[in-house]
Amino acid sequence: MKVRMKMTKTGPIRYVGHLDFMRFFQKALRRSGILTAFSRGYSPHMIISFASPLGVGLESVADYVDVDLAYRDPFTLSESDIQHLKNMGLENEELPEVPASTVLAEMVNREMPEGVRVLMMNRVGVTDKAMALVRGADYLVYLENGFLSDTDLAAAIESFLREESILIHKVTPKSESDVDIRPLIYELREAEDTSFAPEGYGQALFMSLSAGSAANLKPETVTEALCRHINKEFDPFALRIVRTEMYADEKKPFSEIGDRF
Amino acid sequence: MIMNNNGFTYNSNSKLALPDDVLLKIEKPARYIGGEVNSVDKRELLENGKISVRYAMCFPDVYEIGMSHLGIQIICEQLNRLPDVWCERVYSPWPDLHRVMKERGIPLFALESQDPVKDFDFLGITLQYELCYANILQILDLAGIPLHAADRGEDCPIVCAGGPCTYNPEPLADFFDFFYIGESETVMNDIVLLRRDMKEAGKSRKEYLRELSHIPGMYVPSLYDVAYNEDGTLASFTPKYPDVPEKVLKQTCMELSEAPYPEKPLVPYIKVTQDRVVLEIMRGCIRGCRFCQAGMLYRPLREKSLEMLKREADLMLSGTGQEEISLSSLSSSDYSKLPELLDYLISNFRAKSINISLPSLRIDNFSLDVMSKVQDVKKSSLTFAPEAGTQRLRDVINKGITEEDIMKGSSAAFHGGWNKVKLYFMLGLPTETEEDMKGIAHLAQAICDNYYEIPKSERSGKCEITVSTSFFVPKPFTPFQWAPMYRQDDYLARAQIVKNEIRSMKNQKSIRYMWHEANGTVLEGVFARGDRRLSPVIEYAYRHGALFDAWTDFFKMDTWMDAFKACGVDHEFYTLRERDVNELLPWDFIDIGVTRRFMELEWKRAKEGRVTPNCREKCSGCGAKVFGGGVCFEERHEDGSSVISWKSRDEVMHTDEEGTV
Repeated sequence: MKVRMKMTKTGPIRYVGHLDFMRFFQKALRRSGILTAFSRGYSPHMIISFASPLGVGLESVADYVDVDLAYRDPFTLSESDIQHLKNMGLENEELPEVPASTVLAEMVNREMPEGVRVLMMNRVGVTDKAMALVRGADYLVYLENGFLSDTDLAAAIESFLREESILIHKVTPKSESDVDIRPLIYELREAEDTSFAPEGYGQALFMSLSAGSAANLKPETVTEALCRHINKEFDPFALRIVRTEMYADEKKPFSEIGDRF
Repeated sequence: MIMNNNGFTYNSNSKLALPDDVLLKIEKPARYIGGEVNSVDKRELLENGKISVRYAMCFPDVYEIGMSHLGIQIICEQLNRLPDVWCERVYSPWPDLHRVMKERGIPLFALESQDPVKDFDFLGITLQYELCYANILQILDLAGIPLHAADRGEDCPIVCAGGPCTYNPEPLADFFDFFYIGESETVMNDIVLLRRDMKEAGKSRKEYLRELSHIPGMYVPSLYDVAYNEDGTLASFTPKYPDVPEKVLKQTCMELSEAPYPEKPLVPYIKVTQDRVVLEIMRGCIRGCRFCQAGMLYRPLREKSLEMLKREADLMLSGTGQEEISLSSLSSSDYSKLPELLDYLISNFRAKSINISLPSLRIDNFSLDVMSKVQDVKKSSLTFAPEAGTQRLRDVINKGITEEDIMKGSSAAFHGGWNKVKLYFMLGLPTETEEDMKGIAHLAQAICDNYYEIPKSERSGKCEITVSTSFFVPKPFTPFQWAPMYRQDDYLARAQIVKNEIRSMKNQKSIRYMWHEANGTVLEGVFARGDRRLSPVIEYAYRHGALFDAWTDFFKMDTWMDAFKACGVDHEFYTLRERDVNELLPWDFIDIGVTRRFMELEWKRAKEGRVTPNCREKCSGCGAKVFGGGVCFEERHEDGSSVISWKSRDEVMHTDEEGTV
């Protein structure tokens, strides 16, 4: 059965890049003793997919990863679910009963370093792919003490959001273009609760932005545009960014998708 | 750490030595954050005053290389079992971070605690290859420790070294307080605890080092005087005080099955070179190849018990979640219970999708059968290491394999479905002639012929043969320690001869030729058999930018040539001449068990092209019997051969890219 885990990635492990973290995560699953399914062939591998890679240095308290487990799926199987099991050489009825999701989460958490915690997991169908669902994400952007500290953030944001279009110049290896990011900003405000800001950081911005393959807007891009709007110098190293939630269509948080078990 | 109302822990303040902006600017910041799974954290004990000795264990190369080294993990395991000792790890900062640390004055730190190395009691550095010598000075420099042992005060760690290059420690004599000659399982704990006791008794580092020199295997270079002859050779090497031993006896662990072994090896966050569980099955080698330093240094062959290996494999795989296990030894086929071990690994771990990698196996029906179970025959290649192109030269180096053995082995492999073969050779071996060089091409062609003799219907496409050559560097404590080397151009000319000959072969399109650069070869040769007069050269080169010399991209021969010139050292003195067997060698004060007499005899036999039997075939009286165990004491038949079966003239193969045998 396929499950979607919600987990955190905070603290020093934020310096571990996405690909390395995936490999690291698989080893943790092996240590945990939970039963995972493997692809077939000479070098079988786990079937794992992260909803959205997190850049080096970024933290998250709502990262989502899909994992195929080798337990009997207690929910109704679709044609695709059955075919998928067949491809892996598995028969649903012959698999062991699945423990409660809280039990599985605890097994994984025992093997995780500080900063990585599975918070919950739901069962999803094989055609339900986290990566394809991503439409939006929330972020907290902490500002290092001294950076923008003499700025009235609330006023700056208000005037920033009044702009009808906010153009940023985007350079890729293939092309150069101006992109309007205004429609990709769903929400932007000064964060009220900064009680757990990292040491050396005070103010914070909360932003809800478009994410995923269609249009992905980075929180640092928004912060840079905001700085430009108020004529302040932007310092990319004065930010500490935490992703706090991810959404599928219609602002539906990922945690509300799938079946509880 | 704060628990917020959503129930997640948000740990924002874990201590890191490097500030965020530095970590975000450098390549692979995860190299420097520590905290890997199974790393040992004794911070709480430290804060409660329960730690009496802090040991920083350093591999002087980048994280991914250092983390792949088994020895450091054994030492960390061993020392951390002592309740009041905390052993942490240190690796070389990559040049990008090196610059930042110099600019901002950030001191070198250990990974686990992220504390400055300068505050530790010991800085132990493992010396695995000569081209890391500049990196050693980087470590000292960034740590804020004076480069010269003589300049260090009571506030500095004791700086020591171990590993294969300590069998000629002389080029580094100025920089180390002492060298540990031997295996860590023997007296490592003693030296650490001695420091603790003497520190508590208020003794100075000088007093400690003097006392230390009485422990077998410990070499304190400052306690010896060196004099040279007019021709530059060593005249004398004598202790300064009567209580300091003249000979330093290498320490060898004879109870490997009871020795500490990392049952829960570290799991790095980032991909490292050896990203798998490594199971050491034995130490030492019976083969006696005359070019091989490890084969002499680690005599006698000592096997670990099958029961222990099974237990270790279980523990290490479940404790790491690694997807691959690799057997480690100099020649795995010589492990007496190999079939039982492989049976166990395959039946227990294949079902769990764990890969089994089997380096250095002999090609026979048994190993081919095993191989076909653990790997995709179509994709993998088999590696042979004939080392030399003709039978004459193979006899000189005592790699007593015949062409027939190689043909039989490759033929069995081809019939088993393999069509990719790798061949490893060395160029620049003693007595090598053009015929030997060309012989490499002829051997590759003969293997091709062998392949195409198989009926077309039974072949799987074209055969692919990869020939690789590296340049031979004579090492101390081998029968070739007296042998001359060549100039850089000469090495490249040899590779060119091989290349041209391969291009003239019938099946040249099926043969790929790769050779190593000769850049580092000469420098490696200088340090391998150098003396104390090289310390200033290393210092000059480091101060003028030498760093990461083992990395082709960073190696700057000009810097080193300038250094030799500036220090008035003729590097060719160390490489080009054939040493006389009566010459006093800089490493002669070390006793590795294998005698100098045996080495001299082997050098003579090499020149006569005579092979020497392996340890199981017949004891040749090398001297390693003094250690009182291992292969020297196996039960023997009447003819003197071991009751454990062995094959004397058989090919050695392995199944992936790691190292030759």
